[in-house]
Amino acid sequence: MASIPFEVIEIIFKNLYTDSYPKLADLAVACSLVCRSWRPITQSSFFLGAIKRPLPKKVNSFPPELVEIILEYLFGLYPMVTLPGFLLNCSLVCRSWHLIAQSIMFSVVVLPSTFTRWGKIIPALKRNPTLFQYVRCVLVVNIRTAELGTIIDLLPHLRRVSIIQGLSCYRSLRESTTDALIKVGMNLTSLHLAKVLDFPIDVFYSCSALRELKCRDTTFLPPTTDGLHNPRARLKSLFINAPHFPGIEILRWFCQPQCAFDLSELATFGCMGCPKEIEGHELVKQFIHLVSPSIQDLAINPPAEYAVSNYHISSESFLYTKRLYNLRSLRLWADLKSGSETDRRNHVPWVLSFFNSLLRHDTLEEISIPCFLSIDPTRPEEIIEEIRSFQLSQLDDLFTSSKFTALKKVTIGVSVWYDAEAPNKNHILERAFGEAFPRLRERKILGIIFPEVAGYMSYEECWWKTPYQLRAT
Amino acid sequence: MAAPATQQIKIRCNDEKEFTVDRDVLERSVLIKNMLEDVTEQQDAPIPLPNVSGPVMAKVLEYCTHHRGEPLPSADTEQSQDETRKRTTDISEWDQKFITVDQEMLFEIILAANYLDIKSLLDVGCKTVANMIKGKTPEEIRKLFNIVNDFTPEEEAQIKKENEWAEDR
Repeated sequence: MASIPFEVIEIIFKNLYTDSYPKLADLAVACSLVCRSWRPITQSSFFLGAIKRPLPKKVNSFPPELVEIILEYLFGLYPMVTLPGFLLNCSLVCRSWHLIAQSIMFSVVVLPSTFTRWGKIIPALKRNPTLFQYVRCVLVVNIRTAELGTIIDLLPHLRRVSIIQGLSCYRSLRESTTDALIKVGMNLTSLHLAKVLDFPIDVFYSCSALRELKCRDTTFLPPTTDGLHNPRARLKSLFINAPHFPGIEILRWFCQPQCAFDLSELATFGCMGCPKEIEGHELVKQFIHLVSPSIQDLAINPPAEYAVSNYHISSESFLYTKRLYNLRSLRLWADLKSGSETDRRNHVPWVLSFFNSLLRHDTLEEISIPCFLSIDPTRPEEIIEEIRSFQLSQLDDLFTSSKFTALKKVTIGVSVWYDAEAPNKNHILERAFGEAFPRLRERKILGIIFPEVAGYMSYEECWWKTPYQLRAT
Repeated sequence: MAAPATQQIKIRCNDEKEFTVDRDVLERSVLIKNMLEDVTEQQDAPIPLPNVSGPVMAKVLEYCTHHRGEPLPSADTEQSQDETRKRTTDISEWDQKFITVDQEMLFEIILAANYLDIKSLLDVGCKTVANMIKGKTPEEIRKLFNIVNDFTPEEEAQIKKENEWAEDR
């Protein structure tokens, strides 16, 4: 009987299956206990498909796709570099949970190991090579590691590499890591590059499948070939910050035919700003002119005196162009730790001037704007007065005007430099901000969020963690 | 042409319980939304929902009514939001109160949200269950979900060995 093909066993099961799902589940359990070779049949499309059809009358199991969602939440609770130890318990629950937990546990591999446990992952993977198939993402913690080079061939489904942190004493990748990236480049869809890293542009020439590139304070080493014969990657998402580029030559490269990327389909663009001295530079304008028409999601920071390292905001450059024809979502972000009074007063006028400069408003669906205060939360009347002084009602008027026909969500990220702790401070602020936007609130498209760290709304908050959860006001 | 927001739709659950609900509330469910879009003529017959019971549907409708008018995630934004969504188990205050139900009802709500394709409700339910699983032993999880341990002791030992790398030292 054990040698009967699965298809035949399935037909037998289908004949046995006459009632509701719980009986089918019992049947599956019974059959899985017959012998080892029968067990996989319980994972067959027949059983899984049947599970999806009728819902159980009593809760005695969950469909695997829901277990997967739940375990992914659990996994997502922790930063990637911490360990998914709790998933071990989930993988020991039962056979089907084991498969799901395993695929999640091994989806991200951290190299190497400054962390003791991560140090054991490569030997663990090598002992059981089937686990390699689950690896989708490799986080390279130490750029001097040679491990990437040694395991790259074993990871058939690797799609993302994140180089987390360069070190000031080791800015350059090992040759073996560079080679590994070039080797795996064709499969990579996502590459995140760390701070303080010298990265050879040549690597990009092999990354024809790349769709997402995030570089933060990365210094690009000039290409050694013209790359004209390589297929260009159609980049969909790009985050750059200009200050650490060798001059602004990287922008010239982006605009030239030898660039490894085709930017004509770039839909998501984030920028951390560029130094004051190159603001308005011809190359900046040229680059923005090139990418603007396709951009749907834009994350930039408004101009400010306080901006980190004196970045003057490249968003200014967007005022030179009116080519943002397809803008669907705009996320302004700012490091608001030390905003000056002038910055605060200039904030709303700048936002107004940005939106007024756009030719099209009917494509915009989502807008996120930071606001910040330096207040004493124990004095609600002061808060309300402070908020009034921002003249936020002008934004309320603008966003509810007939121009913004597609707008579905406006999120105000409230960063507060608390002078004192006060009970219900967020509630007071939420109410006060709600009152500042009566029309948006009436339309139920206003969300107020409070970044976790008081007084700080980082680009991660705005760029990588958005969209904010909409909070009823 | 879109139907007026006040249009009332009848639905019938698997226990014959019927509800008459505003169309925009029901359209929080992608399944029902698609069904309504596929039907060009107005029909008086209730929409049968054979996989949802009356009490569960009442809870689902409570959720949909509270969140009516909020933007539905579009297919293309959904994918980009996926990573974000999984990086938090925060649940808003109202949703938290709403989902404070007995365990059987919680599981039924999740299954109904999955069937009706109400992404945000599915998220709330799954996040709640994820929070319940946190810190539990395999045996406690089995008990929670009424799952039979189908591992042999040898297999269990083998898995533990495979996962040694991830254990706390």
